[in-house]
Amino acid sequence: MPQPQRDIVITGLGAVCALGNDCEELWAAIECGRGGITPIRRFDTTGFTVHTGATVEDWSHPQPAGRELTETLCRRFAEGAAREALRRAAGDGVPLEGDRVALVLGTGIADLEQTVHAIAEDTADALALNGPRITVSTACSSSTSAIGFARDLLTMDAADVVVAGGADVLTPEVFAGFHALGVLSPTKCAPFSTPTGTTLGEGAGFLILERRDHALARGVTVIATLAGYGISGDGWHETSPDPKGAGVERAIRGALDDAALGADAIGYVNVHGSGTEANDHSEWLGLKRALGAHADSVPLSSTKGAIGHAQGAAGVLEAIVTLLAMQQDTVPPTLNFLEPRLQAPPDPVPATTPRRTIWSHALALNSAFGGSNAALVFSRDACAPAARAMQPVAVLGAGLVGPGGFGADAFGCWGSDAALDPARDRHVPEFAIECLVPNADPRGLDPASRFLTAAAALALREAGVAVRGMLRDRTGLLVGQLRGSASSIVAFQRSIEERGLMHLSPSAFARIVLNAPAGFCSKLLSLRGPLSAVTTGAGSGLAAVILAAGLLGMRREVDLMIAGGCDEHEPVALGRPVVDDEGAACLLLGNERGARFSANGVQAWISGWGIAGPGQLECAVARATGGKQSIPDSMPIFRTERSSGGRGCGAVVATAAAVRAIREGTARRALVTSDSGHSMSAALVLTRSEESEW
Amino acid sequence: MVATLTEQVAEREEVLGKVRQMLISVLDVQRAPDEIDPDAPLFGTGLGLDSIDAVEVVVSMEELFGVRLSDDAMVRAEMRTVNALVDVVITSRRSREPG
Amino acid sequence: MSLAEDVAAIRGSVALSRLDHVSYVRVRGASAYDALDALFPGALRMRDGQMLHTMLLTEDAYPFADAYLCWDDEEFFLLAEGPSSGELVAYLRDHVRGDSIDVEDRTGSHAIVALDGPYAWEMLGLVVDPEAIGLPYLTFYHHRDWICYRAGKTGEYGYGIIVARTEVDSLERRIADVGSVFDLRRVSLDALDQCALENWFFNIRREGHQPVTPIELQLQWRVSYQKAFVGSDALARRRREGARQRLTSLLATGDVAVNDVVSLDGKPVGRVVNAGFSHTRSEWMAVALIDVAWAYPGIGAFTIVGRDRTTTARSVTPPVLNNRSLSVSPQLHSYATRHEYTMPELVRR
Repeated sequence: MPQPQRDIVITGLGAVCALGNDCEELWAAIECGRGGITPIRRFDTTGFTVHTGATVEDWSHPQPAGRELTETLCRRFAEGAAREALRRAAGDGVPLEGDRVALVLGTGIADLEQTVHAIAEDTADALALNGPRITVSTACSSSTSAIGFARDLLTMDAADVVVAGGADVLTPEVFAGFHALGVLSPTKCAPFSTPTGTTLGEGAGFLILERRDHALARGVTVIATLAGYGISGDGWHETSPDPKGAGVERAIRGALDDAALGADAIGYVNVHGSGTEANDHSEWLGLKRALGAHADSVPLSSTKGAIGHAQGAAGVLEAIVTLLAMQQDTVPPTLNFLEPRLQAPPDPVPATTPRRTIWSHALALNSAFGGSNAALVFSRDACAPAARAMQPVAVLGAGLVGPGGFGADAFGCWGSDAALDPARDRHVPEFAIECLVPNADPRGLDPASRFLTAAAALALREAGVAVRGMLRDRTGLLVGQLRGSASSIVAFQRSIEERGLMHLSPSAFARIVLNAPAGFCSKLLSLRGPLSAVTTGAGSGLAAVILAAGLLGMRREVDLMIAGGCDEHEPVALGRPVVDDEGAACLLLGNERGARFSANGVQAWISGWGIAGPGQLECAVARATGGKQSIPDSMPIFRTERSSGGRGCGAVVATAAAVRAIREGTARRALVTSDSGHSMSAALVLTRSEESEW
Repeated sequence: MVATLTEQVAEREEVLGKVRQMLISVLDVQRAPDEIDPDAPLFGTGLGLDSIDAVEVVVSMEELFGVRLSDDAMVRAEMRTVNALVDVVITSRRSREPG
Repeated sequence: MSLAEDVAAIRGSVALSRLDHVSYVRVRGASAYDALDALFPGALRMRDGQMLHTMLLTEDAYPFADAYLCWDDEEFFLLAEGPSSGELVAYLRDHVRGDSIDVEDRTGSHAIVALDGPYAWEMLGLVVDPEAIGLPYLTFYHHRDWICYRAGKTGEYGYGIIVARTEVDSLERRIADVGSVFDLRRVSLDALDQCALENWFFNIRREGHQPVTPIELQLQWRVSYQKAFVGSDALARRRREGARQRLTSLLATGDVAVNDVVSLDGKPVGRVVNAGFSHTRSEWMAVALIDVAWAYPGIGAFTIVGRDRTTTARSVTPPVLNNRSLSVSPQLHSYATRHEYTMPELVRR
């Protein structure tokens, strides 16, 4: 595997939000102190106690309503922002497009009819970006994580340029959901001040990321360096953050370590600062834990007073504001700040306009429902990231939950006709989660969460790993899914139909996001390392495995990662034909440090992986095999398309089958591929012994 | 019309049964009805409901019994125990009776 | 009179007490979870850093101890009231197989300092650190050599600091220093018990003496019928037969005492098992075991007959207070500015 190239820079920015349709408009508004929170006009808020939002107005197209809202607006925002960023990054040169340009898009959109990954695919198609398309869906930290994963794609040479960011829409359903949870401000979001509560926003933003040498060769100006990133899971609650801020602390520490910087180097922090009591309090605690005494002397501010809480697009938009401010030698203010709340930070830049401050390194933070925290480090100048060898990564155990129950045959015997018989029962038999995880509270667990938690527990058990003590902070979870829990989405929609928007089910609302099952699983198993959820349509599980392997290979704060996928059928009552198995599959992966915790040793080593754009499987395989042109007959291929298991976990089922073949001695090495869908091709090479050449 | 003690007790049992059923089917409380003690706390301890559940309780009370609980979620005395919810229903019925 | 002032401090500002009646016992072992699961009546649905408010029963399913079971990384610890720490340790050793767990009694080496009251969180933030302010109910964390937990049986914010006995005096001095601006008052166990009575917290040292099961005591939320534990057979039997009494909360017009007979329509229907004068409500309160046919709130026709007095009483839905702690938010309020905001009336009608 090639050594990671960690000097990643930003060469383009693009933004669409309440303050403007491009970066120039956005910065002009920030510079003169204009706020973007206004009465909502797009839909009727009669009967709610809140009537404000930060919507993208002044759009020349007619405003659609209903489901079209998410389908069209989200794509328009995304395409608009991406075009601007690409234009800037291309400079006077050729447009950035083709197989080596990837897209990583963060969004929280959750719907039964349309699949989340289609937004990234459509956006990439419109812009001729034909590298891998990955959608990150971890609610409010989606685009922050997306930027982090984009960095990994570049350091692992999966692309030359990555368009990274996110897009989200302020829909009546999301508005009603947040309203039901009681977290909306009655007026305007006032982080660290009063009244408490957040204000929803929307929009899209993208950064263009590439390796520094690639940017210099193209002759374009570098805006800033993406020095590092960190992600973590709270393992606490579906909607409330860990009140100690320990999850935020871990994300910050991971980012600082990735950037090879100490806490004292940070000159500004753009906080998540959603304005809610819970977030602002715990985020400040987490910052103090991570930065120590230095936290009291760093200016920090929240952009949400200006552009609202843009959900999946929040991270990238706030990062863009941070970078625009850097270009003017300023830090952006926290708007709507009057009286400080008790326990507020000493310097939240309470002003209407940016403050003149020159900083070299900044932190950008976001926290989300389900407990996913993400932190980015931006640097004005080049820094010399410490060279780090890629650690080898191994598979330590597998857990499968499917129509066949638990274990190796959960999805039938690999490749057998019976396994692929369309007439068989594809439902997971009833089971109680407490039989696998004795201390689990089953209340509120939807099937997807239950399957995922069971599969993860089985993987840990097979590996002989007990996640205790400090290991909890160093064990993470990355899940690939097609969408969130189907039954939760149905329950959510039904609550709206039966009770109206004002009385929709807040517990169902908390469960419709893609990362909800990952959030539950991490809580029940106390997994507090990196936490994320991604989708690439079919083959999502393999994206999760590869991203997880990347984290283990390159980071020092992670020892173990559970990488998996889960799928849940729509309720039978909907009467739609069932085409996939439901269930979940998880692999326990570990680097050298992590492998030592496994009582049962390494089952197989991951000796190579490759990611490429849709329809480019050969390219992905070539990267995974280190450029070898032909695959020997002795190397069996486990194709995801031949796998049972749904589109979320099928690729992991295939990988588990490959691992089993190696463990049982029927193969010394195996290839796992995923070629379906319109997002990504992927390949993984597994070997018996720790070897990189073969 | 003043109910006799027997009628009063019977009414409480009837409403208690419905509130228990609501907790089981809507709030997913994993208990048989007779396991749900009338004075069991709902939040924090007792049945262990949380802030998200509080909103569901308010909505369900309105749907099933037509009662509106006052605005501030967990602070309300009306929601501290199962019996507190029963009280709200019974009080609401009394206020709707003629005479 | 000092009892009244003690209760007022618990209800209105911050009260300090030493929980000498609570045992602190640590339990370790590779199979500690399973061993404890076989002892405690409730399902151990909990995670590291959490406390489960539970109890221990005798083989007859009567109360033995009122306990918080706390999961502390790779070990557990118990904070238990009722038996002495020696009796508690003997119980643990008697009922656990072999040497699957290691029990360490730290009651002698450690003390527990408690802070209770609507502004106890604010004092804790100054005494310990600001992180303590956001501590969720029934969780704990380590602060240097101390363990800070949030529990409380008064209905107000309640915290405990477990500290080595060698340090407890200096901790209390520090608390006293901080406490002057909070009108801090040291209170007696009687005051804590009075507040527990007002707020419907089970008291092992009062109603806990009764030979009845969690079913009569309305503590089924602390048990699970899906598992075996000490007393599970007897409890299942009682459930099958049907409990004949239920613990009921009463407000009386005159003096009440334990063992007073509760009557309805001239017929005895129950017996007082805990009683006291509520200074907060300015009336007598009792908790009685009453025949299930009449064990309902809202009955005004009870009579309580003592040795030389008779009073009338009505059954009520507990808790009988709108605790100020429900309205106080650490994000928005402070003891110093408490007069600037209005709160719901403390006494529920």
